[in-house]
Amino acid sequence: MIKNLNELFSKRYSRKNFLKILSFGLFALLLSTIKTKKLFAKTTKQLEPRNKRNIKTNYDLVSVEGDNVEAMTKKVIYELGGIEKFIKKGDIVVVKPNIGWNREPEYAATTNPILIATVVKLCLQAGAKKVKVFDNTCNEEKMCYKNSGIAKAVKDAGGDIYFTDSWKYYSANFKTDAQMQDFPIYSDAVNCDCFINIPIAKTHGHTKLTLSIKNLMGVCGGNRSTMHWNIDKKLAEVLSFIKPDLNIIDAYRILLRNGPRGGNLEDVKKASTIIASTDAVLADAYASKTLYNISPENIGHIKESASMGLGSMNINKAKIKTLKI
Amino acid sequence: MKIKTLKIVVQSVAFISICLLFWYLRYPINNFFNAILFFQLSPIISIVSNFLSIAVIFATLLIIITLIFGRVFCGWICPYGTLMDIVSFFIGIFKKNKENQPKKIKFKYFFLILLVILTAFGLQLFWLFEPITIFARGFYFTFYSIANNLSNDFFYNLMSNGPGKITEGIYQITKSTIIENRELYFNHSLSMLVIFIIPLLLLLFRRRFWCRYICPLGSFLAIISTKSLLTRQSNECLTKCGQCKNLCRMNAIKDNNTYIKQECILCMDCVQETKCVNKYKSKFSFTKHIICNLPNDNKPQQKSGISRKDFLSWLIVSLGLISLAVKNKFINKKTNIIRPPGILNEKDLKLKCIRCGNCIKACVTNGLQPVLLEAGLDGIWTPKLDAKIGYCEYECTLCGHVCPTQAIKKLTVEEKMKIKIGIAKIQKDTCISWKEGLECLVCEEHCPIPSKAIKVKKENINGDLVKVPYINEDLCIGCSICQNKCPVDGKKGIIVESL
Repeated sequence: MIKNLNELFSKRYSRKNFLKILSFGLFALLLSTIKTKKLFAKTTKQLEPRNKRNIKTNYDLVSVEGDNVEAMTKKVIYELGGIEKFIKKGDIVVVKPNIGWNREPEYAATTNPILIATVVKLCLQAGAKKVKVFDNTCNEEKMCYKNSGIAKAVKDAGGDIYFTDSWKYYSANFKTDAQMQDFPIYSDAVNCDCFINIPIAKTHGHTKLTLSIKNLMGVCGGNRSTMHWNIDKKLAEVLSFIKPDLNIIDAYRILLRNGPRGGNLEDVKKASTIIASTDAVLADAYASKTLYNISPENIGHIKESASMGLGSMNINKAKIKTLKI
Repeated sequence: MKIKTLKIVVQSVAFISICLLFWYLRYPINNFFNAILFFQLSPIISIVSNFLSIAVIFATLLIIITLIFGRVFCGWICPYGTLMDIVSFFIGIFKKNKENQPKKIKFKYFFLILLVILTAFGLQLFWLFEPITIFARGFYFTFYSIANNLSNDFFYNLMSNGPGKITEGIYQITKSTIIENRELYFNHSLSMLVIFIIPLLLLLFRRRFWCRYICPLGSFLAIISTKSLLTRQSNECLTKCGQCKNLCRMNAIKDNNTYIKQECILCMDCVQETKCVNKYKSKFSFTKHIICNLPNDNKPQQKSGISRKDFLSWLIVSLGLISLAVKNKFINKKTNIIRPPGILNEKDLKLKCIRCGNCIKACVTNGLQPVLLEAGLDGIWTPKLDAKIGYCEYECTLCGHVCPTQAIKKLTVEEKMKIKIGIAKIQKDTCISWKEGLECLVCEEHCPIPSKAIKVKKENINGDLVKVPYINEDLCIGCSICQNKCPVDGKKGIIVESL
């Protein structure tokens, strides 16, 4: 080796070679001094709470029973007053389904893809500029998007479906003394003209039921597991931050046991219902009462949200329309 | 087209397409154009996998090619060889290549036989020397992970400053086609890089040092290529200028311009007429090889065979290694390693695993990690499930589908969902529900078993009636998602132990 090194550094080591090595070294030195972080200095952005559109619908809540998901979805929105009430021309719309788990749609762990596709199509027909569909999944995102059938359905309907990006989570500024202060929230969910929340009705070991309020957990980032501590208060705060314009609860198939992940076809019941309301609390209260026969007072996060004045859980007072097709 | 140009074109195309195959070995996996088929070309994979039928078919294909053309795989296709050629090219700028008279019998043939014998005795060491896996490990755990993480970092910094329309468009395309939308982390990648770099450093002494003296795959093909049809014709050139000898990167050409057939990798160096002083051109053809016996070659023939010294040293090395293998069998180390599903037992894994890193790279949650010494000396770089980084996705069978030797069995989803790889244990001293009485149940929510292996019961903790998790050990398969998602800092409230 010594002989070869001698060869390398004595005989063939001409001025030209020396300059070559020197220039390589200088170039490397130059590269190392430029730090990408300095070039693109990170700005700490904060998110402000979203403003809800003031929409007067024909009914406070509409519930449709039937067998054809597409027809039911169209009917439920028609009865509320039509999609034009919610969407203006050129709007950027966010549709937030539940794609949390790597399960096929038959297991009722994720939102029905036909329902989402129909909503996306309606939004585009009403003149929406862009319909964004995303969820911060619990399982591996690629598998969840694919196996739930939602990625394909949304793509065919013309919507934008994408995985959440780490750089789009900004810390939330609640402007009040909130437990969720500075928690990262996905900015696309806030910077939009219309937020449509499409959960699926499932049971949940911790919060008893997961409906529209619990579905909003999918716009939170960071260490989401910690949200489970005092979850009722935290979910109500997220609801006050996002304020969805429209909630459509998919109860075509519902999960009766072993939620929210399911996996047994025996636990799935075909309730063949779709519930829609602008008020997330009312929609959840109605769904828990009619689908699971649980009084909404017994469900922590619904009660907490109602007491914070984010909606009404009084079903008897609300103007409700139920129909069958 | 000149044959040398053709060779360079083929080599570059092969290198790039192999790199692409390696790059795209990840979740939506293509069963036909899959990197494992390239691994299975190597006959060593057949030996290690105990003659797995698909591997044998692919190896036979390579053997047939070698019987016709010779070691064309080494010179034209092998990605590690191509990388060595590139490095040697740059070294060649500073260093003049001079070669000695070649010896016929080389170390690598004994080495191959030794490795085969050791494998038969239950100590498989091919994983350290198989060139394609060395290249794959360097590619996956250094190049791929760094390229992926750097581009993620780059876009993160670029985008958090406020994305423009074009930059966001570029990012969306890159994200969906080239890079993965996650930070990758691999344990012990440095140790793999060291093994990857050493053969490249050896190029400072000789071109293709690894291929000449060590490579077990190369020596396997060399043994076959002695009977190959394509031979080098040089019998008309009688000058003893030594030009071709110094050109040859494999040191296959002798002083008298004859060559050692099994050493030739058909790199086409000696075919270039421009470098020859006499403008003479040697060529490769299928006509019968005529051995040139120069009448005035008075040099004594090199003594062929193995010397006594060599024999003794080899005897000692092999005895030592065999005793190591035997010793390892008696130790029966109790390890707390969670293996991926589809592994029958530790012994079988250590014997069959070639440590190509396919499973570790393809794992969708990044939870599979190489071990270093936890599994013993013969278990280096075998895969384990690290719940700190990821978990085993319930309906995923990817690791078995990318294993070229079937050390991890190819399972159907139904089979995989029943396989127990570990068992979860609630840590009552750290679990926030058991310790402080704060309702949490993240583990219960994530448990993938249809009827939940983590159950809930009401327990009196510090005077309050709280929902706490407990485990049904019959149902638990040890997928580790509970430990991975547990929000407790430091020691988790639920920990998965090996069976």
